[in-house]
Amino acid sequence: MKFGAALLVSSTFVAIVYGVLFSVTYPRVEINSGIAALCALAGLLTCLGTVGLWKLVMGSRSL
Amino acid sequence: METGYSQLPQLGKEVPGYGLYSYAILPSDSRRGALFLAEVFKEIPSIGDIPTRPAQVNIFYIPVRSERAGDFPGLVRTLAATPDKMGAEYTKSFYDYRMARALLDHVCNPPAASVRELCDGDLSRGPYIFTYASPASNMSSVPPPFLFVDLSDVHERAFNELLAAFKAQVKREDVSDQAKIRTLRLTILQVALKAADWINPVEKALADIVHSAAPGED
Repeated sequence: MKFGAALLVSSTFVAIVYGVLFSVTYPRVEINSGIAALCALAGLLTCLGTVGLWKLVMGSRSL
Repeated sequence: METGYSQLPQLGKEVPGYGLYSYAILPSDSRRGALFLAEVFKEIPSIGDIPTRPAQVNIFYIPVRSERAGDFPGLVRTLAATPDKMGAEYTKSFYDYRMARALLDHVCNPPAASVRELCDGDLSRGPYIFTYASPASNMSSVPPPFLFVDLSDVHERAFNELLAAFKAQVKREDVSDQAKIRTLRLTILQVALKAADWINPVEKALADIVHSAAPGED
């Protein structure tokens, strides 16, 4: 699987997890498009951060 | 301690014998005020619907213009199913802003340490919730302890969560400590809702750019 597709799938999954966590933590707050977009962005940033961290750790190990 | 709402048609007209007395204070007719009252009508039952004995009830007073107090049951009958419309109508035609400003004056005359900064600043925003152990609308000065919740910087979509926290707060031994209101959970909600407000226009702008740049589009 290409990196872009893997990133898309994993960030979508993380975004859904964030959305579920939000709805459980704040049951009275309706999830609108703004919250959904925020979850999507947070999911993408989480995955990019994880990839960056992974490369950093692996890079330092191979030295 | 259960919470139930009621109308306050005049200063000093509270019903004695309740455990706590709370007041919904809106400094002026605004969209935020209407949204706040809509959430009050959604989250808090009418005092008449609470079977608990008064000593264990926090009565949540909403100032009402005395000449319109008699029309409130009619408003409930017609708009009870749509709290948003009810809140808007109440702020427009029923709410007594003079009484609300008088309540604020009582709290700030002279201000307790916990509200000094607020009293010295801009009191025109709100909404505010004020809770006291006895009827306070006719007191010229209100000595602490009391609970004063400033919702000026609270996102409108978080009013329901704040009201739920307020209802939990009045059940505590120390009503004035705000332990259920100043929480990390509610702070994160504020940040998330404000960030969501920022993202929405960006998202729409990006969609517009993609649409206008897409081949075959007009």
